[in-house]
Amino acid sequence: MNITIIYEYRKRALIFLTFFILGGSLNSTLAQDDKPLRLYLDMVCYQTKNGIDLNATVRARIGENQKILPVKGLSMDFYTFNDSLELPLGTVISNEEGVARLTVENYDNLGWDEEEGYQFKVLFKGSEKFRKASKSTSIRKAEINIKFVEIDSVKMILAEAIEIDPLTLEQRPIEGEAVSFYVIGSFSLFPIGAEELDGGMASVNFPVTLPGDSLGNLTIAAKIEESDDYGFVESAAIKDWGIEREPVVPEERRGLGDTDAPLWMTYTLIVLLSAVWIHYLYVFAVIYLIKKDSKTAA
Amino acid sequence: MKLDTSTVNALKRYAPQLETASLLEKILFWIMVIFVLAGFPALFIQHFEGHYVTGMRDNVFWGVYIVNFIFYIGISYAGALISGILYLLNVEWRKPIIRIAEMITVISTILGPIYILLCMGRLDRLHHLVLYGRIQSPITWDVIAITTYLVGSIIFLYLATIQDFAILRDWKGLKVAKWRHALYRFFAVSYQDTPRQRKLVHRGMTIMSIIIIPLAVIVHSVLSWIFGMTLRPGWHSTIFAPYFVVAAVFSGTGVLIVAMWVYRKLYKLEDIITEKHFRYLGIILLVLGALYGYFTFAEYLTNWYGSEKWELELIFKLFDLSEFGWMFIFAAFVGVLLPIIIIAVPYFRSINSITFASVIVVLAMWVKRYIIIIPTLETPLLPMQESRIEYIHYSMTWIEWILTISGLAVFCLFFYLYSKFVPIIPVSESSSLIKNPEEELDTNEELT
Repeated sequence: MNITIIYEYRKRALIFLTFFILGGSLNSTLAQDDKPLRLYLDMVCYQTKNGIDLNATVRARIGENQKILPVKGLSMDFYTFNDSLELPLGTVISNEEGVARLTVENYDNLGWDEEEGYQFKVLFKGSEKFRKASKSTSIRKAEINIKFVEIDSVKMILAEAIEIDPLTLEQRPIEGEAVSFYVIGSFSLFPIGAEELDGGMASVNFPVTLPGDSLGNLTIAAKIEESDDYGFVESAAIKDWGIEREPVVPEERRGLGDTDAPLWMTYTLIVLLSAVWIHYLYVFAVIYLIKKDSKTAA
Repeated sequence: MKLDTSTVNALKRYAPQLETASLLEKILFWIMVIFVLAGFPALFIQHFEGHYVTGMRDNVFWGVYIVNFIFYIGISYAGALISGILYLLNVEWRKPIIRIAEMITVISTILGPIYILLCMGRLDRLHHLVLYGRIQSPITWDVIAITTYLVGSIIFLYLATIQDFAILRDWKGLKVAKWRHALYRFFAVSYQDTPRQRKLVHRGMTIMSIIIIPLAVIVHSVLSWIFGMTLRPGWHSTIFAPYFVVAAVFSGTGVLIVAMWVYRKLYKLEDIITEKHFRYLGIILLVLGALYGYFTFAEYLTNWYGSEKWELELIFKLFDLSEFGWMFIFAAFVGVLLPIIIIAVPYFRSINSITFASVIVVLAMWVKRYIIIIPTLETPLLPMQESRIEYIHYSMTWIEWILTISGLAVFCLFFYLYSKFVPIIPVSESSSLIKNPEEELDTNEELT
């Protein structure tokens, strides 16, 4: 057989092999159901002193068991609207918990309705995998102010909840909603108590046995939760009503976070570097001897 | 210094490489220069606009620059290891390829850290690394290790070339500019090839060969520990150091084969760099490919089996075709299986196919570095506060593309320029490589 023909066959076989491996690797991963799935979309609003957090949660029935699971990586568009306008607020990708969160800090251009309050919408435009879905919600502007009172050694937390009219900025006390009080921990909320608002005020006694930081500081939160009119309204404040706790310092320091390195590390580095650089110096000496030998030979 | 007949024959053979440039060389040279120059506007914009012009953000704070850094340091390791081991074992077939391997080591060790500089937000604080560097920081280890390695590899390359500098200095037939003769004189350090000098060079080379091998292993291990010492999914792994080392030699061997192929064609060295060299290096590539595949399997199997939340999230990102799936398939399957099959099956084994397999290896190993860095940074342990897309997903900007391509052009340009300064095949070791008996008659007049 001619060498050129062998070469040509070999080239073809190589091309085939490349595509075979590439194709084989993808075979199992590409097999997917091509029918778009229905999405379950939900949205709640959190009102804080910093603005409004719009939280959209997206789920779908996924997999062989058809369990409803969060969907991550979907592009969710947020809007504010009223009868005459629909204004985009931003686009957020859903995280591994299926949550897309957008914070609205500026209230000026938000769509507002006298009856419903501020109105928001979240929209997923649809893709090959998932169908289009949208959800809208509305909230009235509200605020909670926390006050700390101590009468005859009894410590109390007061929460004043008010509704604010966006046009006149007139403040009205909120009635009938429950306010829950918490101490914010590193990983979770510690509930202290809850009370229904009366004349815009709610209060609970504060327990005196909670540990705080080195100054006794605790972060205390008051919340209206899942209200039809206001959504979630939150406020937090720091107060030194906790028991002072000094940070625990481990007896043996590892040294990694300190200014000085652990001694064993310093010694190891010095030994290793010395071993290498001494050999380098020796080779420099060799080069010098080469030069010197030429002069001697000459 | 007296030049024997075989040395003069070799010089005559290699002289055109040093004296002139073909049309193809000129075209390639200017293409490389254009790509290098194209990097300057990008560099200028990045310097004055800041890192906002790159794809790097709060979460993905390392991008393609670090990928390039690891890639270049990786390929440098193979050059050091192959040249060091082959020299120590006195392997005969090393002679035509050893200088290319040494050049890979030096050039990529110079180029790699430049990408670190591109990655730094405050270059004006570069000296703080020396002034305030903490010994317990893996980044400090890296700075020390790479500096030491660079010095070592330059000494190694220099020692291996000292005899050639002396030969080029003393051969009157070489028609190059005076300044180049002056440089040959300077670098030859009065070497006269006396028995004592030969012994000294050999001793220096032996020491450097012994030193450079563990040094290269340490440097790449330290490089891996920048990631391995961090408690992040996909990085905090005990096998990261050997995994990095194997991946480095794998990619470096690939680059060596590709460089051999290019020089073989460019300088018509078909009779010197033969199929045997490609076959032998191909077998080394095959063994390394199998080893790299084994490490890859062990790494991902352990993480997947452990089912730790963040590790799983990362692995699913790597397996997801809409995220990093394609890259993972290319780096972990195509980049390993295809070269192994091409080299293992004698039917496929030829110079071109081994080079093709090497190109696949080099590309796959670059992609591998990309999927080591980016997906992990896109999977933080604490939820991201920032919700804008460009903060969650990293993508290379045109600035980063251009600086990456410019870096490649600089790498090729350095290679080319060095091959114009010193023969790519060591003249001092060419006595057994050049067979040109008819020219032996008229060599006496050219001896000095």
